Amino acid sequence: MGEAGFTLLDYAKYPFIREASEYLRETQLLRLEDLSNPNLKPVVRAAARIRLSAQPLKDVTAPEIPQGEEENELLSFPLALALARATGDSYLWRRLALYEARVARARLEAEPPWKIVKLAVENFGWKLSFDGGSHPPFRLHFSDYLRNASRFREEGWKLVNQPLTGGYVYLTKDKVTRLLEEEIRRLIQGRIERAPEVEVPEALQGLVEELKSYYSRVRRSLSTEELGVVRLEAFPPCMANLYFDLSGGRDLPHIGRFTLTAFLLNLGMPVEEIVRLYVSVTDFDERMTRYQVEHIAGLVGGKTKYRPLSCGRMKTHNLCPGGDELCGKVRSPLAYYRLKLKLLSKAGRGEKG
Amino acid sequence: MLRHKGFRSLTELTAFLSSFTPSDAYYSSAYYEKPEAEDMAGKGWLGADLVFDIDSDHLPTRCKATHDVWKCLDCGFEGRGLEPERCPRCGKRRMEAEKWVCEECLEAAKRETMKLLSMLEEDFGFSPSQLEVVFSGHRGYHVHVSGETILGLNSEERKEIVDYVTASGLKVSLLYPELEGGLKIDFSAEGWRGRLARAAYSLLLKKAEELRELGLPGRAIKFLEEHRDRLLAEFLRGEASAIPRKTLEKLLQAAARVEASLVDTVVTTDVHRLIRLPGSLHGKTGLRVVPLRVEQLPEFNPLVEALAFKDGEKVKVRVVKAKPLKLGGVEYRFRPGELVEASKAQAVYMLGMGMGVLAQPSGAEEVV
Repeated sequence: MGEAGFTLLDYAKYPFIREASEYLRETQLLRLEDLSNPNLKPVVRAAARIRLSAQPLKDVTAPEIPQGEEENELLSFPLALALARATGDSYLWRRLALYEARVARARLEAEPPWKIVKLAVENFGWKLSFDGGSHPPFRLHFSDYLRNASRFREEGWKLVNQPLTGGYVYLTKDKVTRLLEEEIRRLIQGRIERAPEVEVPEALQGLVEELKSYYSRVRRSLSTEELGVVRLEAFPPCMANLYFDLSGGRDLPHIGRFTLTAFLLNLGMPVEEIVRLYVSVTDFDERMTRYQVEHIAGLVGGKTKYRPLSCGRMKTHNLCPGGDELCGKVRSPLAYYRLKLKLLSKAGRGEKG
Repeated sequence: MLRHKGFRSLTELTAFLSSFTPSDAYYSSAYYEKPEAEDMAGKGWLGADLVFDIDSDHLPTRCKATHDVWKCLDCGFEGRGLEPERCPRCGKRRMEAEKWVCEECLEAAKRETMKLLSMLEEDFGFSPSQLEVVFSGHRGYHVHVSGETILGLNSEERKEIVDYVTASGLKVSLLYPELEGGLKIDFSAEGWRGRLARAAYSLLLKKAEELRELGLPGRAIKFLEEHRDRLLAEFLRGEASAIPRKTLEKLLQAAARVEASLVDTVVTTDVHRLIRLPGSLHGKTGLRVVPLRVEQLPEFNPLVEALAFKDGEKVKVRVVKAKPLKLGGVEYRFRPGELVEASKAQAVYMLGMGMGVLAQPSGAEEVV
């Protein structure tokens, strides 16, 4: 394969790129009024994109694009963003952006270097080049590197541990695609967040409602499935927020991760499950994450078993979103959980009796 | 303090400064749509230069033992040199320190600045024309980096640059993943990998005493001393098989400490920072805040070249605090209470730093 330009298949694979949007504009394929039937292929596929984003996102596989379906596949992307926007659920937006970015990365990993370079340069203005003779072979300007990697918390991503010379960081393909995933995620999330409120055709409003309720249902079951014995419905607002942020792929501040981990440990969630939770939605290195969780659990290091921050300290660190009624009766997130659990089981018995 | 000023031209600025004559002048490293706006939110941040501050007061120099003293505010324990983080007697953190700056301090600050500049040029690829070094007028240097690529960096991204130059978060095992066996010493490798190799080689040439000061454990030092010649030869061949893994790791860690440039981390990560205006005078010392080209720094002596008041009549100064002083190539030693005939530069320095008070000529009252 020569270093030609992008093809229609590339637009279908990377529908967020500029050329793909231009293609849609020129061909005038994207007309909401023509797509107001929930049984049309692009609409079905758009809804599927959203449903797929509600899966655990640890190992995302890129769906096949059958020959002849490129345009439908491409069309389904802006449609999915419009449907997502119409649900008004920002948790869904974040997850969809993360899912789409991970799919793109899975596809990019199989691409020749020139295509990765072209995509990054044309869409994100990266100063990126490829030189098969050097090792590692990709060369990226440190400012582009920092814009994405400074969000990753692992030591392996710190600039100080990279081969940096003449303003450029030398990177493997694996690292380049990971950085691109981050850039793509931000692009897509921004596009959903900033999209103007459009009137969804009446025929699609049912679908929006369906997706909305699907997501809120899955969000609960996804959460409880990931949480095991722990009951999410008894979480205080602060911990529920942190938990949803994390599972929605949002980067938590260090103190937020600490207090959520301590909270989950104190509820009796096993170390292994907490590690899986972090690793499935972030870039954390599994070994390091396990060590840190074990540290908070008091299994290694200073052997102190940590408790989550009290309500007062949660407020200091801006982690308290403002309490509900029950919050007024407690001074710590753990106390809230125990009290709420009691009330829930009382209510449960009440119903039966 | 007068803030939120904006000027449309250099003439406007100099006219303002000469009529207002402030003791100290600062400018913002940030670019704004409306610099004159009274509240920060209304200014419209557009970007900021990348700024580094190297201040000798927290550098561990030997001279500190001769001119700095500290006192624990809790138990009264006193000591000389750089103040410890915790009181060695009661363990509390409340310290009061009296600091001074001497030629040796300024040399130490210059060395840190040179290390920083070499990283900015070699690793970060900035051209000398993008870099401006400025003598701060008192204890150290500022480095200003300008250019498209750094303007929009946020605090977190700038923190990564600070961590790079200070070697914080540096992991020898990540830079040398092959540490377990068959390590390659590659002096020309990119970034810290090459820098550590080069610095480790020069450490091998150092005396045991110096290695101890760098925090190398005794056993490692003993090994390095005993096998010095063999190790040096091996390093030059790009190998390091004759050195135990742990010792090599310690050596490379010490190399990182030697090569790190100890900049003030807070200044660089602040994207709204106010910095002393190059060309102005420092209010305490009367020394000029001197902008320099990168290549001028090695030969620059601030205590000679930053003097603003070069001539004029002598001024009588009564010494209240007898600290050593060297200005314009002349070294002064004072006794408390002594009356000295000082040059103008010397007098401004002594008054500004609280070393002396102005003595009126004909026995009139002395003015503090």
